Amino acid sequence: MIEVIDVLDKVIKLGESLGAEEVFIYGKEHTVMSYEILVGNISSRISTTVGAQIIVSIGKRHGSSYTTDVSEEGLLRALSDAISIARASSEDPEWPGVPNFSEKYEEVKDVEYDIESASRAVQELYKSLLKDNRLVYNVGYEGTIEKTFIANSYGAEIITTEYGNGLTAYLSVQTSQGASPGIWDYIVSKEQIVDSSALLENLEFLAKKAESLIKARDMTVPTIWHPSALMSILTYGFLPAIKGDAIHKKSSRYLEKFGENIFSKSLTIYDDPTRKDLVNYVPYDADGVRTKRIDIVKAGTLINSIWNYHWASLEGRETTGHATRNPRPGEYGVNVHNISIEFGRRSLDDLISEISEGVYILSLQGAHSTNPESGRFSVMANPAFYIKDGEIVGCLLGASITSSVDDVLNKFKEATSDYKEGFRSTLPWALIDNIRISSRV
Amino acid sequence: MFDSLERVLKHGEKLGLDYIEVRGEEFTMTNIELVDEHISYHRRSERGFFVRVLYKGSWGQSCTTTEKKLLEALEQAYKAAKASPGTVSLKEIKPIKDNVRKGLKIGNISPEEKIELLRDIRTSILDKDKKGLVKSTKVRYRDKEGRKYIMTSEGTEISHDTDYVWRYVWVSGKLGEKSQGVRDERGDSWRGFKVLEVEYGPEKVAEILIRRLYGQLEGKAVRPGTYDIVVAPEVVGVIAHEALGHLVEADLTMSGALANKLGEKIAPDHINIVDDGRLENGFGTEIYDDEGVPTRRVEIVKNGVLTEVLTNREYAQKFNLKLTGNARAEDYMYPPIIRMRNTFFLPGDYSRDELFEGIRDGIYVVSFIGGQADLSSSFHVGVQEAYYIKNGEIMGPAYIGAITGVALEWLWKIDALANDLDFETGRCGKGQEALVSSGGPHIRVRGIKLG
Repeated sequence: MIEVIDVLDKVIKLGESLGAEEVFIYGKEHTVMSYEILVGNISSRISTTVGAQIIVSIGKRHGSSYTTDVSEEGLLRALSDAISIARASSEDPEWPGVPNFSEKYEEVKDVEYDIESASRAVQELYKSLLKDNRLVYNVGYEGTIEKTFIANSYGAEIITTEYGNGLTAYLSVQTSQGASPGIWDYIVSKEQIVDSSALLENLEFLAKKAESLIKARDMTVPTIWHPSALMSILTYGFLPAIKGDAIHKKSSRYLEKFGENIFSKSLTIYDDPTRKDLVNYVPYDADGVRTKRIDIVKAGTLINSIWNYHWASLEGRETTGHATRNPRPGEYGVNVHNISIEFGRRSLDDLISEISEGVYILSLQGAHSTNPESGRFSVMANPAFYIKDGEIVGCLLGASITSSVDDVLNKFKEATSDYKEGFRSTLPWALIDNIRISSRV
Repeated sequence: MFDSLERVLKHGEKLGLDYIEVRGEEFTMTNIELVDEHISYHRRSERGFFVRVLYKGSWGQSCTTTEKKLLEALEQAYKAAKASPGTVSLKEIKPIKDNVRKGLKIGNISPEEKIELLRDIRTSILDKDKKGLVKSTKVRYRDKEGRKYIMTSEGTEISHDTDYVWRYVWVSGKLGEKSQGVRDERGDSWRGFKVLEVEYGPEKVAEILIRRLYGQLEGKAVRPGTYDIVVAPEVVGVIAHEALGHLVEADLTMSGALANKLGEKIAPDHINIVDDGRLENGFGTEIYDDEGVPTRRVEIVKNGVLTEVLTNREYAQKFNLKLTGNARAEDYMYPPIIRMRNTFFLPGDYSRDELFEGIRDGIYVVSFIGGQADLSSSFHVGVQEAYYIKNGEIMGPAYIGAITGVALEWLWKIDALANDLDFETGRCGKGQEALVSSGGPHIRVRGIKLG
């Protein structure tokens, strides 16, 4: 990657000499190491790919190009492509230009995950999970190292390294009533994962419970939401309404609600990408802006929205450092880096033990069809488990929930002290009261 | 390109590998997005390689975007395969040498023409919005022009064009306090730009989306209850794909609700489902898969019996199944895995109108927005267009949010299939994207819980 960094300045200067008023370069070197046992078959992978996106402005016209050829010649071809696109495009009166920051920052880490230790961890987990009545679909490991470089014609030069590795497993249990819904779990960490015992313990527990399949019936009960289920409703129903683009376009249902107490007073939501020990540590966003912790909801009051440079400029405000990019398709947006709900004091076991009748929701099927504007959703809680007298007693079939994200966040009662790191999140389990479960069987 | 791939094979011979497969790809791709009035135009030029080796029963894989690191990629794949011995072996094939051309001539379409198409779609939508309910539009366009190459140590040597065009339109609107969004998606990999320009052109997509949006905003919510429903081809297709098609991908079949059910009756006699790799103009149609196996029509369910499942070479060998040509890789960054192509229910004998006859209080489900299923065949399909049926007549729009259920139970509730047939085109995600078609005739399903 070093050779790329050395030519960025030259590419920017050449762009300016060819008529580009602004040049912005965003590139990534992505290394992945994976090891997977899929239906008993082993595959393993070690790969490194690299690519860079170049964006140019010519007045209010702009163009973008991506190349996998990051040699000087390759970048110059991409530059020339971006300039010709900008020239062919019509003016965009609201184009605020490329991010105009000029910070210099370098955090290069030489990280390497060991494929052989990973393979041992996966094989141990696979062998332990394999039992007569189970179909272990996959057990997999993946370690990724992502080196990002950002440069622009204002002098910014940022190089960061983000990394982490994770272990996942997915299985179903054959019962006299047929196959159970898929049971899964995962762990992620920055440290090389060699110990899968916690994952094994949890999967063994859930698989044992899935041996008993219980048809759902209509009921209104307290529910425990796994961090993954929480993240899916936040992603599809809550975050779209606090992003700068929705606020600028006035499509956010929260437009007039900032500063108001609109959720449960027990609920505090924040985004904190600054913790170096977590996999979601992101020191700079994709505009080249230093990130910081942002409180989004505090004790039920909606406080902050999140912004990238583009939408913040159009709104005449400061970015909050929440730009994201996928340079291959040229996607640019606003998103959290590491959303969290303030942890509680009691464990998951403590919360379950106090429920006389309820449902433990591992994930939500169909959450992606949540209406991003109204936050309304109609989903299957699948897999979900039935709680009776303080214990999980079996796996529920056909449990559906029709509600809204705002209703769920209003009924939020308590978070656990346990938490899980995941994609763009570090979340606890949550006790959500009075959720209506409708049977689909 | 073949010269580079051959260099890898020659180097691999020295390592004592059991099998070497090298895929190379080069393409340019255009992504344009028109969000309300604002256009962003992005072009990609990519060249990359995927190396896959089999050593002592384990796959080792590596990919690189740097041609001079191709031999290093092979060494990495070898190192990965050596991490532990396994049991993988491959179904034998007769190696093929071929060169498949599509001739879509995407390079002949100017940037201005593409931008004009997007602007025309937006203008048509706003023109048809007589009630002024549209709040925002997003039109996305993508095209790809390129070639992929495969060469293996067994002698396979095939190159294909990878050209296609695709567009996606999203319209959101508001009526009082109710907000709603609707979508339309269309892609084509055999006829090209004219499909988006003419066959599914701006006027047509605008008409469809305004109808859907008004229906969703003005439709009355369905009372919770049990209904007889008629399902239109687009939604039949997503059920065929999500709830049944994924279950017959051999890497999933043996872990899911269809485990050990090959040859068993899983549906009434009148149910026939196929995945056709050579469907004329199918979005998922290709002549060879990404392991160099010829594609074909796979009879998944024949007269209600689970007859065949979709395979790649690895799973065909593991479970002693026939090859179907369903190994697909999104591009050079991914390994080929088992994916559907064009999946659909075959038509029945009823006319479409006959399906509605005798339904006193039912729902006509026309279009979907997102589908998902799991290994138990439990599925969730978001609905973006539906109507009430009263005494056999299609009435006003109905708002139902989603249809959910267990597909293997649903199959037994399908009591009639119409003699029509239609398809939708889309993108399937299973860790990587695949272009697919899915469809079927109108079907009638009895006793479905909604609301």
